[in-house]
Amino acid sequence: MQWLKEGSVLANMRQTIFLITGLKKYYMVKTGLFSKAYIKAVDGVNFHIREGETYCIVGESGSGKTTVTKMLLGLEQPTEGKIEFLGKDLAKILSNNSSAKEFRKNVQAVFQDPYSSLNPRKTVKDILEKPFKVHNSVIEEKTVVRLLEEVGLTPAKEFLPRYVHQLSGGQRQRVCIARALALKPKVVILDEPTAALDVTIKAQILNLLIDLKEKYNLTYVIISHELPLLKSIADKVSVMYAGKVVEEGPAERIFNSPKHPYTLGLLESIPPPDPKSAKSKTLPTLEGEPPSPVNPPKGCRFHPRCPYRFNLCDKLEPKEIEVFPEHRVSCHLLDKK
Amino acid sequence: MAETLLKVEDLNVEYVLREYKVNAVRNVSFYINEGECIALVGESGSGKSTVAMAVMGLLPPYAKISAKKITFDGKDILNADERLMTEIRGKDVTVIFQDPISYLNPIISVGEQIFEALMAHNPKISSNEAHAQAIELLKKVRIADPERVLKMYPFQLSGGMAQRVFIAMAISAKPKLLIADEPTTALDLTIQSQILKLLNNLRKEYNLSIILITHDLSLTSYLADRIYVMYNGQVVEEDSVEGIFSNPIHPYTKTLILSSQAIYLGEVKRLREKMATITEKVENSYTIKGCDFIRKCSNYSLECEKEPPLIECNGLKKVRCWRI
Ligand SMILES: Nc1ncnc2c1ncn2[C@@H]1O[C@H](COP(=O)(O)OP(=O)(O)OP(=O)(O)O)[C@@H](O)[C@H]1O
Ligand SMILES: Nc1ncnc2c1ncn2[C@@H]1O[C@H](COP(=O)(O)OP(=O)(O)O)[C@@H](O)[C@H]1O
Ligand code: SF4
Ligand code: SF4
Ligand SMILES: [Mg+2]
Ligand SMILES: [Mg+2]
Repeated sequence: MQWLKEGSVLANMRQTIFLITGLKKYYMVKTGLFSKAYIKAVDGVNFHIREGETYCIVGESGSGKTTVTKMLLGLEQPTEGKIEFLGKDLAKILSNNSSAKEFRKNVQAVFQDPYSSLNPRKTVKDILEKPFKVHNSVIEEKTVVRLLEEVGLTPAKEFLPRYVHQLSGGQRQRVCIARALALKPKVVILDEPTAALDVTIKAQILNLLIDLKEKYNLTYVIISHELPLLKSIADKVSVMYAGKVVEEGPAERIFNSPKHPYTLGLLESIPPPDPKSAKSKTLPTLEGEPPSPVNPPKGCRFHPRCPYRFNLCDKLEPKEIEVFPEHRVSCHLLDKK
Repeated sequence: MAETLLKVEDLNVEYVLREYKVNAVRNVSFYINEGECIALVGESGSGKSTVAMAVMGLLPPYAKISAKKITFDGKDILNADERLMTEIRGKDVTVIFQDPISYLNPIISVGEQIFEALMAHNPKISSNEAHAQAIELLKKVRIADPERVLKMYPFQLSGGMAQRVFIAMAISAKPKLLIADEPTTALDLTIQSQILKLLNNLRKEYNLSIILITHDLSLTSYLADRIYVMYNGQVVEEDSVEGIFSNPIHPYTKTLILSSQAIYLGEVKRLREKMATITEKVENSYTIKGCDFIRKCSNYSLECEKEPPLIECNGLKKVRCWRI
């Protein structure tokens, strides 16, 4: 069997980078003078992210993706649940100065908006030297030049003195990626890395990420609402809906045999760049909007929009069912019992 | 035979600021027929929105606009007086944007804003009538519980709902032309397809003409009849949707199509070989002489240092390239 050879068995032998269990994040909001409510941004999710993997988390806006990122980076405290990094509790790692520093070196981030994540008063050289300064490492111009070449900004000498406003959107995102790679991290977390870019540049940045990963055996966690982009790069995909993971599995399974009605709907809504295809004439849609994170629907959170819902769906929360090795789905339709 | 609704010939727009000048739009000509949808496609900064704003008469005062001709419904709107312009703008031609929430007044309820739009075109409308029409409009844009939404404020709307409300206001005066500037760029996939469907339904119902402005070529295959591909302020290729996809000629159009398809099919890795014959990075030459695409084009030769004209090919196709 193909997957036995290549997929899960080998993957299972790889080192676990992040093990996330029962993770929740509730934000409190005041609804009146004495009343409050909780926004359930993330409501009990599990992720198992292994070394060398490109792990993608996809979902509509408000589904909790960025909140997960923030908790992985230690920028937010989980309300409940546990994050382990290389077998150690992240909360413990961060409570100790030297291990926190080591973690920050190993786990880097790239954000959606290359405009706001780069300091406009600094040159490319300053920006790329900063990580070395923060970690008291020696800086050689050679190293910075190498970094720029690595991300395709050549001739590097020409880019060193430039300010952010003298770079195009694609070039800025390349600088962000170079900065993230400066300290040779194990993991790079990318939150919507290509959302602000033009189609041709999106493709270039994806190719760059693929190359760098192969070269440095990086682990990527990519957060995105652009499902089609992930097809070229993902090893694993987790689909989030209203704070929960509704389906998770090897990318090949998610794209070729999705099982959850929401995943199906998402894939169907991708407009094909081809006027001849039947889909471009009908353009299937999934009706309705994602629910309020304060009062999510009872039972299956997707039931108000689900074309397949039946009598159980608004009463009972579906259990996670493994439909194939490593491929898990939370939907009553798949519960054979 | 459908009538031509809007015709623009040789439009030029220059933003003149103290520090610098930008030739945002250069020699752009296009037309749109009644009930037709055309798409302006190109990367950010290619001048798409500037074209739309010029048609709407909404350019900032420091923008210098010139054209050979702009006619709407047979009327000259290039040299129109203020009165005719206000009559056309906001009534016969309306526009929707990428970020509707920032165009809605944050402190006024959705209902009040729709009433205002209705009153602008029919000052004598009674409040009962306005209410009834507002409900009707919200139903048209497929808002499930219009009564509740009328009482809401913009910040309480999701991106998709705000865009629906904005579309409701845009169609309140029964316009002939709707300019949709990146209408789904800020929306999720499932909401994007809902909005595209809505636009298509409105188009059929009202015989509405739509100018779809987008950087995402994939959206055009559902909605558009013809495409104008823009690069650096100019139209570099125009054709029917089928013609653009099945027979792209300009190297920039080719890169757009190959990139979109590679992303859709998950084959970005193989894109590099395919692109290699079309573009190469010619770094370190900021002087753009002749063809705008010369910095990136693998196919260029000496003649490309003269600016190429838009050359007519078979059928509807026109291409701005010497080496076709
Ligand atoms: N103000 C500036 N000063 C110096 N160089 C600049 C300035 N603005 C842009 N450039 C350079 O000019 C070139 C073209 O910039 P432009 O933004 O047009 O690139 P682009 O082709 O759109 O890039 P990308 O495809 O990466 O978005 C780039 O090399 C860019 O770094
Ligand atoms: N109000 C403005 N003032 C100065 N320059 C502008 C203004 N609006 C747009 N531009 C410039 O004009 C060019 C075309 O912009 P725009 O029409 O917004 O392109 P698009 O909609 O295709 O992204 C760009 O170089 C942009 O920076
Ligand atoms: S549990 Fe029911 S409502 Fe939820 S996705 Fe499955 S069929 Fe649809
Ligand atoms: S005119 Fe020359 S440089 Fe321009 S696109 Fe055509 S071949 Fe390339
Ligand atoms: Mg986000
Ligand atoms: Mg624009």
